[in-house]
Amino acid sequence: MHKYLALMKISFITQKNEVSVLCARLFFLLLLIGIFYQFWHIVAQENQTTNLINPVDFIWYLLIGGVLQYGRGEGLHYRIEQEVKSGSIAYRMLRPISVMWAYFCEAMGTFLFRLPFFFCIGAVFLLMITGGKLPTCILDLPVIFILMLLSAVFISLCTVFIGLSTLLMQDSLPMFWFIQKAEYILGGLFFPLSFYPEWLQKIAFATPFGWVNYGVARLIYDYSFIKAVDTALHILFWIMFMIAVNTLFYRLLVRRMAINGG
Amino acid sequence: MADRQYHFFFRLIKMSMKQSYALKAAFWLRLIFMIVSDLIMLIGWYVMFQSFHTINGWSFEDFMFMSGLNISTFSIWTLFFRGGGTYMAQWIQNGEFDHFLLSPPNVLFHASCCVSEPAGWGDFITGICLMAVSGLVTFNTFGIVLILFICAVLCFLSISFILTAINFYFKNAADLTERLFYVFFCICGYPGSIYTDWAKVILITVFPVGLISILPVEILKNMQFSSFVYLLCATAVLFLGSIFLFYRGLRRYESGNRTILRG
Repeated sequence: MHKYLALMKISFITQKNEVSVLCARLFFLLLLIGIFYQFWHIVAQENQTTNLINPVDFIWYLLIGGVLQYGRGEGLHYRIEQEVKSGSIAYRMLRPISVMWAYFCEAMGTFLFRLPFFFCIGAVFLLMITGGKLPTCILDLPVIFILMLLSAVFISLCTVFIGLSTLLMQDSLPMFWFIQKAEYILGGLFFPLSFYPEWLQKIAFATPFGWVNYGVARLIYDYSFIKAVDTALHILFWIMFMIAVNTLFYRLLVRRMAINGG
Repeated sequence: MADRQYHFFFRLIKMSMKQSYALKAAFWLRLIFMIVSDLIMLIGWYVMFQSFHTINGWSFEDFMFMSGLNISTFSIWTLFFRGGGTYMAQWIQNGEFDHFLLSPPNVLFHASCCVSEPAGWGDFITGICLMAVSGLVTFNTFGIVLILFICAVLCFLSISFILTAINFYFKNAADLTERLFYVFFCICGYPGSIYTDWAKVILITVFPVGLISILPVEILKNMQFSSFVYLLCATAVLFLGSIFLFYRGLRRYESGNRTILRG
């Protein structure tokens, strides 16, 4: 356990040195929020009779979804792909740690640094553009933050899964595109799922993305203890599921490495 | 001389596409998953337009045309000119550009055409289908759409050349090139009608993303001759300007003295 924590710590510390990457990611996050704030503003003007979420709640909703999206480490899946393709992963396997969990810790270390950093700066930005207006459920923010950490665990596992999918697909990019777009739409990253037709909402909640992204972000304007617990339980279920899938893939990887020798 | 150059480029493009087809399973998977991911995004926007019908005057059909144009333009870049932009930026930063300077063909096009991304076919198919079903492409408008498409491709290439040229002027700017590309894609992906007032002016002048995403739809919808002329002029200026900027920058290139083998 100590070794894994050390890996997480290294990844966490590395983030402090990647100032340009952090600034760029933060800029995209704020740009995305700016674009959608403008979008929602226009939609609200045109559809005054529609029961819309108020713009302040909406951009805080976007901030939570955006932080989960932009807080993840970029390129880890590509690095796993390269290591699998080149066979250099075999050298990693000689170390007395599980490669799968090492990758996970690396992804998680990045998340642990970026999550509070992006959230705090994003929150200041939102307060500036909304003239200091706060979202409806601001007092429940600590609970939401804990749930965001749970989501981060799932997303980190998902990143490892994308990298390991190279084993089956020769390439990790197709899986990356697919999961990214599914997150955008089924996770309600751009629009809350409540605007979707019922059939699409059912599909979204049958996947992890509905819970990991939308489930957490919606609590900023529609909080209840039961909803928070429900979301937490669902995310935990999907974390277990993803651990099982990754373990399966990892065993397959080890077997292939043993047969082919990297 | 020109004939030999064209012959070389066709051979180069053919070779880079053959190279991308080397891993057959990966090629087909990339193609299929690209189409699927494009369609997933489209479903999301379809649902949004079903709820709100129009967004500042733009209907779902307008959005489909815009997406189709963006995606197909992007696909032309990924299929034939993928070397431009992020790859070239890396080569310049690492001092690996000497190979192109020492070869007889045109430097800019040689470097641009030597990489091909197979997923581009998925984008190309999706983009053309989206434009076709948008309802904005008819027998009467086909000629204009073709011109708009050529303009969009030229604008896209120009932007990639400009973002590449940054690396001649600033050290270690490959990362900046990549980030600016993301900003470009990010802005392109949303209905052009959400950008109003000063944002729209910036997007069709200083940061010319609007030449690909906003103006083509407005020209087709409203048949504005003045906008059409502006688009043609802006594309010409942008394209020539980007080539000028690239070659001016190339004079500042410092060799890395690295031994590299490249086809």
